Amino acid sequence: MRGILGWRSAFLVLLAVPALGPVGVILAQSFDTSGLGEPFRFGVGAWRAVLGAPETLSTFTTSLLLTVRVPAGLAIGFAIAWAVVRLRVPGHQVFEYLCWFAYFLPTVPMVSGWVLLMDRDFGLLNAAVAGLGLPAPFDIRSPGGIVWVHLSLQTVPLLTILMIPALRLLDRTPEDAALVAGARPARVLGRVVLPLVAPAILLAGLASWIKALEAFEVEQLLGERVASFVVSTRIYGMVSSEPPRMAEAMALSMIFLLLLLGLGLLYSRALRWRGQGAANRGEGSGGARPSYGTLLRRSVSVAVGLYLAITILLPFGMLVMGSFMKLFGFFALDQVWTTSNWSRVLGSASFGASLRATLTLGLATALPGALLFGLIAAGMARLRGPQAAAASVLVWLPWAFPGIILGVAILEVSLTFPGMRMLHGTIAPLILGLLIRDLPIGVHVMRNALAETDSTMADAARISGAGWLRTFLRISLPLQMPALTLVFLILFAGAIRDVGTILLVAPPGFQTLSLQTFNYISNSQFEMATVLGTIVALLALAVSVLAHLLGRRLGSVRSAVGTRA
Amino acid sequence: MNTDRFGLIGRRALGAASACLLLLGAIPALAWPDSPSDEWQALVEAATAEGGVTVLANANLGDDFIAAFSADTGVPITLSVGEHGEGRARFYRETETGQATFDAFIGGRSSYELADKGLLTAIAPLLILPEVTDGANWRDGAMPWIDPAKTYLPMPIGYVSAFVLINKDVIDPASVRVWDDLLSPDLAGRIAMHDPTVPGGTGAGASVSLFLAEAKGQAYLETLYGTQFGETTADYRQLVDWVARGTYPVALGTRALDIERYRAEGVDNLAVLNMQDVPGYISGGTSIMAIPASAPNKAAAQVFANWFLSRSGQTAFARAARAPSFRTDVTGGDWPEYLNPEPGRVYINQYDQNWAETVEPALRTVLDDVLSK
Repeated sequence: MRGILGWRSAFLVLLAVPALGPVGVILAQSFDTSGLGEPFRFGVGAWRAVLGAPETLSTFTTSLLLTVRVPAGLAIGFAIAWAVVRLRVPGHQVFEYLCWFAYFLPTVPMVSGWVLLMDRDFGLLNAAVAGLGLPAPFDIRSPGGIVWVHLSLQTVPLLTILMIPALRLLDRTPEDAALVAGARPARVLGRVVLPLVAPAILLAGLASWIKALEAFEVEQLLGERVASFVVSTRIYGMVSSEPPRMAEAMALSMIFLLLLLGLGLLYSRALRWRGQGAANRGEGSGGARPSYGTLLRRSVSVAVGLYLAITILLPFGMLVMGSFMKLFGFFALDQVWTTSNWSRVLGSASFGASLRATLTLGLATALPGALLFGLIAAGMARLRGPQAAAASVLVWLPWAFPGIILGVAILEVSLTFPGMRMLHGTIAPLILGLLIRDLPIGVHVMRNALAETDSTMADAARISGAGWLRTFLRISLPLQMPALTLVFLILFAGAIRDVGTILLVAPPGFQTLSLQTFNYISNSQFEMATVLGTIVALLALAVSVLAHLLGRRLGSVRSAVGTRA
Repeated sequence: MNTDRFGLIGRRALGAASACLLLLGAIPALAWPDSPSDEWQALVEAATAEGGVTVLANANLGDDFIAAFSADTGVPITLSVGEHGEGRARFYRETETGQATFDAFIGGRSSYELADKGLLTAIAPLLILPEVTDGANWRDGAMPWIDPAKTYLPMPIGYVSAFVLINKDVIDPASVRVWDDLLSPDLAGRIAMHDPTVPGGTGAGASVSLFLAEAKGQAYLETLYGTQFGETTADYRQLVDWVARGTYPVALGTRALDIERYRAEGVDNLAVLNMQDVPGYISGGTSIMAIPASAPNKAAAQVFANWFLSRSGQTAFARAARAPSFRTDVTGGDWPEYLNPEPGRVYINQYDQNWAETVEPALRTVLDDVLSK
């Protein structure tokens, strides 16, 4: 008994290190008022400066205002999910796949696609509208433009992916009954379907809201006209000041983290509540698929197809097109097009190195990560009562860490903690940061998969005398291979497209394609950035095909994937 | 921007192998410098044995810069982006904690305090190439430094900044000759400016504003900001783009790099004007070299420092940065004429530590006051 308790306690401590460690580091640094090169000196100067600055309130307000995309995304995402699952519109499989594709697309280069379409001065959509004699309506470098980029590339696709499984698991009997009773589709949707999936929608909204508050790259790239735009970009500005205002950055991060951690705890509790509720409802039962009219199904199919084509395929096409422009966005040249951007990028010494760095980081993160998350999920399955609740909270806490703050925390840990110093300058801190960032989603996928697995074989193995580890390695692990592969792909895709988490800790000479793209865009070299972006997008395309195929095999496991909105 | 070397073991193995080959004479003798001393040759061998040099530098330095260093010295080089915020943050934090993962940093005027606190390596004693230490090879008879001790922070590049970019299809260049011409009612709301509030206050917008505060006074700055500026942006390229398209026909705080990129691709309506009354100030761009005291490869850092300040290094750097070197033997490079300081003119050097510590604070107060209105 004592041994088991010890094991469980150690397990919780191990979970607490990545979950609480960054918070501790950030808190300590926020009270460091020492000068350059001086030892730690306690003080509240940074807190006073941050709390006294008018920008603090304005950046928090802007950050909150930009999350308006979440309710909009929920509405659109639910409509698409309903069309795909309940209406089963023509092309529903393609639509579902497009959402997966968008999920794996690298955001940073895709921003270039939207710039080419909606830049106030040279955007093609603005030019088209201006051709009709109307004023240009779009400005991608505005709060509205930023919301739109998030909404189109991340929020809607991911919320759709999240809600599709919830709709698939819905009992069809009430819907059928309503239709048979003569209710119109809109009434069925509003009075039957929506109330039944409301818990899942609210949960997705909360998870998405947390992530929306943390967003960094899009705001950094498109919000340059307004310096210190949102909290994450203001933190980045403080860190990159000359000299860096680390203590202030940490104090601001701490305030931000407290808000996000509160939301994270709420999310964790809501998740457990929903899990219990779902079990009691006996989801998945139901009769034949409800029949909706052909005209309705076709009309909705056209609408969904148009929406996804405009929001995903169009900017992707623009990204590719931009890579062939001599001067990005400048169509008034004698010679607009060129292949020299491609030859310059592919012929540069840095491209091969970046590609290798990208694949190295992806594999070095995803391979051990998938196994580690599988082990954590298996360990959590053996916890009961308060320990299970504590583990659940600890696993979900990193959900509230913005990538840029996590990156700063990892940098500080690797510079100041004696045991970590030897890892500084290697890719180990990058892997650590990425694993902490993806801990919630990875473990959640594995926990869902374990919960849905028949335990007969594992029980038989244990009765036959196999130990817990042996049972896990020889029985559970092979059974969970599809879920493990899915987690591997999620981690791999996350690693190859990440910028915020690894920006500050990537060792010299180690630059992934996404980091290099970010640097190109930061340096206004859009022509080169679009080439790299296209290459990363094609990599993402391959990953998304694999993930989609696996996702179809995994059924409800997919439900956990979409929570990174 | 980076070469494929980040593994410690592979790096050392490469260095050791290169050193062995050098000792065996298997590598052809390098053509640079002309007549290397024994001290220099020993230093290069030591640098090669260390595995090479890692430099945090401008993203615009590319393969040509790497190739030039490798061809001249035979020492492997890793070039990592260090100009942007994350690079600067790393430079500061690693240097002040004594755990640098790089050997040299090339960036803006950012290191005074690190130098004052002894966290940087003194570069002056490391310079052993005669062509570097010979004052005759430098304008004004000596290599410029930005620190008063002339020891830590060399500034080999210097160009005239605060030029005005106009769209000559929209604005007659003859109508903008002196700074007061920018206050013309015809230009009200038609001038774009690099954002002076960029965190850290290190961008061109802040520098130009400080220059105008010093040269023309607070009232001038207030009028400029109050009525003439249409918009500011932190995106350098967007400024040039605005002028090229005529969105804003005049811009302040633009970069020559962007202007020349547009011109090279066929945009022919851009004109750069140096005002005739007060011609601007001298900027070192991102050419200031610093070596952290904790640089892991001391010999490699020393080789790089000597090469960077040599004619060969400055030729490669000036070409990549498209800016004139202070070296007298680096001429006719690939930089525009309007960046060259006029002989006989006296310019304010905003990179000089004395200016930054004695004059700039008061000007910052003026700028803050103007921006708050």
